Order: sequence, then C-alpha cells, then structure tokens
Amino acid sequence: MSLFPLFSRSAGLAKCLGDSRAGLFRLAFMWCHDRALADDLTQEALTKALLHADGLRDASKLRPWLFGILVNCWRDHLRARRPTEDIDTIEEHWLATEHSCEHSASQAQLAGRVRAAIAQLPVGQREVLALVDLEECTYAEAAEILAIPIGTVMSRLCRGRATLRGLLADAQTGTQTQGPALRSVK
Amino acid sequence: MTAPSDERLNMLIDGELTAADAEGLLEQLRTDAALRERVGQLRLAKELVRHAYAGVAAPERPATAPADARRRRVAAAAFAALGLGVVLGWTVREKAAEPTHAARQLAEQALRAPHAESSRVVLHVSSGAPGDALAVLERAEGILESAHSAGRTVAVEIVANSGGLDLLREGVSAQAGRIAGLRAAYPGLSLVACGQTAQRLRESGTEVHLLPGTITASSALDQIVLRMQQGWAYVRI
Repeated sequence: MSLFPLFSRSAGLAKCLGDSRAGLFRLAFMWCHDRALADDLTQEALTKALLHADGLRDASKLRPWLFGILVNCWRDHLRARRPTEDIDTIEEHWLATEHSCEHSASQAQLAGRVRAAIAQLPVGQREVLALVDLEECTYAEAAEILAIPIGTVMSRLCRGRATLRGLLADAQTGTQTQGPALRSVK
Repeated sequence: MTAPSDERLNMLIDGELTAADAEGLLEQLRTDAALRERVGQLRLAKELVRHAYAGVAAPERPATAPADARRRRVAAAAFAALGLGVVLGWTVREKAAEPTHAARQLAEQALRAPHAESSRVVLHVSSGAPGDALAVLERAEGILESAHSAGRTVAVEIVANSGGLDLLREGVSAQAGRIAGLRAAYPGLSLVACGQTAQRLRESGTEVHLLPGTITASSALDQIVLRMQQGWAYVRI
C-alpha cells in the first residue's frame, strides 16, 4: 500500500492546522481566560483534528470544523472540572497573573477592563461573542459550531453586547477602579 | 417608522442583513441621530471585544515548560501513529510563530464589513516592522486615492504607538519622504502619535521628534476609542 496520497493530503492539512492555531488559541483564551488551559485546549483540538481528519468532508469547511472540535474540548473540560472549579475562579486567577505583558498601561487597562467585563458574561454568551466578534463567523456558522439554533445565537449575542455596553460604560466613567480582587484558586 | 430592535442593529453591524434590508436601515440611520448612537455603541462593544483579544498570541511551542514537554509527547505519539511526526510537528510549531496572520485577516474583514465605505477610517499601527510601516501607508494611500478619484472626501487617521511610533519619528522613520508627499497630496490625512509611547521613550533617555503635522494624543487607545465612539471605522494593521 502506498502511503504517499495519505502523506501529501495530511501534510497539506497539517499546514492548514498550523495556520489555524493562533485563531483557535485566541478563541479558547476568550472562553477560559487562562493561557495554559487555552494552550492545552488548542493542542488537544489540533491533535483530535489530525486523528479524525476523515471527519472533514469539505475542505472549505475547515475553520468551522476545527472550531467545533475546540468547542467539544472546551465543553468536556467544563464538565470534568465542575463543580470544583468554576469560570469565575479561572478568570480571577488569570487577572492576577497576566499583568506582566509589555503593553502600555492604557492598552492593558482597556483590554483588561473589556476582558473582565466579558468574564462576567454567562459562558454561552461568551462563546457566541468569541465566534462572531473575534473570528467573524456568520450567525449560521456560529449556530452550527455551537450546535444551537440560530435564534439562540442572535439572542445571546444581543444580551451579551447589551451587558458589555453597560459594564464598559461604568468602567469608562471610572467608577470601577480595578478588576476584582484575587480569590483563592482552590 | 418604528425603532429597529437591537437584534436588527446587531445584524447590520455583523453583516447579516441582505443588501436591500441593510440599505433601508442605513437610510433610517442617516436621519436618526439616536439610532446612530445605538449602532455606534453596539459597534464599539464589538470593536472592543476584538481589540481586547486581537493581541493575544499563542505561546510559542518550542519553549520548554514541563507541561509543554508532556503535551508534545502526547502529540508526538499521535503524529507517530500517522507516521508523520517530523513534518507535522515542525509545521505546526513553525506556523505558531506568526501571530499577526489572523490579526491581518481581521483587518481585511473590517474593511469588507458594512462600514467599508466609511468616510472616516483610523489605521492603527503598533509594530515597528518595515512591512507594517509600508502596509499602513499603502492602506492609507489606497483609501485616499480611491476616494479622491471618486470625488468623495475622506478622513484617514494613522494612529501609531509602541514600535509603530517609529513611523512618525523625525530622523527615525524610513518613510518620512513618502508621508510628506501624501500629506501634501491629501489634506484628509492626519497623523497621531501615542503620548504614552513618546513619554516612555523620553523617560528612557531617547529624544523624540515627530514628523511635521503630527498630533500627539494622550494615548493611542484613548484616541481610538474616541474615534470609534465618533463612528470611525477602525483598522488594525
């Protein structure tokens, strides 16, 4: 049996997967706000994608297919960690450790405020916002990736943006000084 | 006419409306300031989300944290099972070192978004890479030129911070001549330097002289948020 066709197809796929890594990581990071966890989820999704490459029928659907795999990894993680570790704890842990980046103070502040606001949203809204705002998925793509009706995508997006608007307006007037204080991660 | 729902306004800014639908809503926007404000707020929320994560880069794989080594072994086993270990491991890690790829895609998409024909555009450059300096000027020139030849007026503002500030520094910028030429040809072009970056440079003992006509904002982000609130389109180079 010749391995060549398998090899060349998979090598092409590997390149596409490599190209997708940055996007997958960013998505996972917006969901969990934990760099190490996001890296694990990304790697897990890429590994699964390689092992189940046959599941991809249509090469033009690579992105939504990969995002769908990432969603499954993320949901598996949530199921496994609950109730011992909830989303808020992960977020606060992240806030406490991430201040060393070389961003200017205001850049880090603005990004930090937005991230803190996003961390307060329900997971479902955060998932939709990440796909639509960060990865520019259409509503139909987001619905398919998350396996929810398109109407749910729209209502979650709507509620998420409305809440963000309120939280950020508060933050901009300076009523909110800093992110939430660090709580024990245990 | 009844006020459109938030759902519909979201569909507009996410490019989900049909052309005819969008046209009707845009017509309404032209005459309704309160509606414009609502759309502006929603778009700001979208842009801020994008902004808050656009700079997030995946950790570089070659770094040797213990957890990394463990993951690589798992991955290596998976790759070996396919008989592709070397090629795959190499490609995946190599590609990971290009965090700006997706950011560029976002910028491209931002230009294709419903506000693509916006008459006011902020181009944000924060890297000192020569390629990015050229890219921002080419983007600016493209917008200015096409508007000019179509007889439209357009405002393009280049906001530079961090390493990108070099583009606007006298004696440092390799593009000073080209920028002067653009400014002479297009009055709609403005240049804004990040005050915080400039101050940081000065505090570290570096003299900072900016190109003629450059305005200094308190910070690049303040300027961008201000512009986005005013309804400018935002493109990160």
